[in-house]
Amino acid sequence: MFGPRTIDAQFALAPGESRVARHALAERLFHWTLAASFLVLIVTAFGPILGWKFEWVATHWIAGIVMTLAILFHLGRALLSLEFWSMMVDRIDLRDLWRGLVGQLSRRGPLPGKPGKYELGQKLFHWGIAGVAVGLVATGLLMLAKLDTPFWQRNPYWLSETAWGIVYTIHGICATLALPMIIVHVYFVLRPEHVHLLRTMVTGWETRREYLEDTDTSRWRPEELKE
Amino acid sequence: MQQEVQVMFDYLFRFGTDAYGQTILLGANWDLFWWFLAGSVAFLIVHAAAYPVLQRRKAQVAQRIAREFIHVRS
Repeated sequence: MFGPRTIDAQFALAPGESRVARHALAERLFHWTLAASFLVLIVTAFGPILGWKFEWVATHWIAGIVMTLAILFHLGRALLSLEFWSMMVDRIDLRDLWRGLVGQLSRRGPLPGKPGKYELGQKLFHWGIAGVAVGLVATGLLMLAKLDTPFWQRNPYWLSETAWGIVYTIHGICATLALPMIIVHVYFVLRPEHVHLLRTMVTGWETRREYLEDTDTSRWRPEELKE
Repeated sequence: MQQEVQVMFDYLFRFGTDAYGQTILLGANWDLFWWFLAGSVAFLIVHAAAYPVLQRRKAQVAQRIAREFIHVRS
């Protein structure tokens, strides 16, 4: 297995080591915009509930709009130019999950194969956070009707009280689901065996050795980067 | 049973009364925040503790497969 490296060493290339492209600049900008907006949204959502007193409403809805635009951008790219199917859970992922479980319980093979560009856990996280984000965005946009902004006047009677209750409930449940998902995401990316993925989300590349160690090359063939 | 369901609902959601005195749903209960936070921290602790054991088992399976492969070939 590719051993853990320090943060400094993560950005250094060994002599003769070549690189492959993992994340395009647009994907990285999307990821970090989403991360920043999620962080602001979580602080402005749960801060007041925890008793911190600050003017949170404007910051919250503006961060929500930023997140919405980022997601629309990502959705457009995913449908037009990204490797859309690399994020889909396929038969091989399920076979490898089964092999992994059987291997752990019975200590017998065959071993699970290597993943493509993304592991099953990454795919499940992506679709989980996507579902939560859709719930947050859809209900958050409806809740904008209750706010005065430079663009419109508030209209709290746009929906019935029962409907508003449902909207707030979905928003609250999605927000409380997002928190553990983000905590677990940060935990996994900071683990020694995965920390190089953090570097790939900053620089966009991984070394050819990392690619060969971690990936079934028949399931994902990235572009080679020239020095 | 109905009372238990009511208790569960009261724990999961916040309720209020409208202008006519009728009970209305206000949103999710924010106490869920602490349960989800505690659940995620518990998951991290369990995973961090179990990971070396799982990796060791995986290595044992790989060694066994290698041994059986060598045995079949010889």
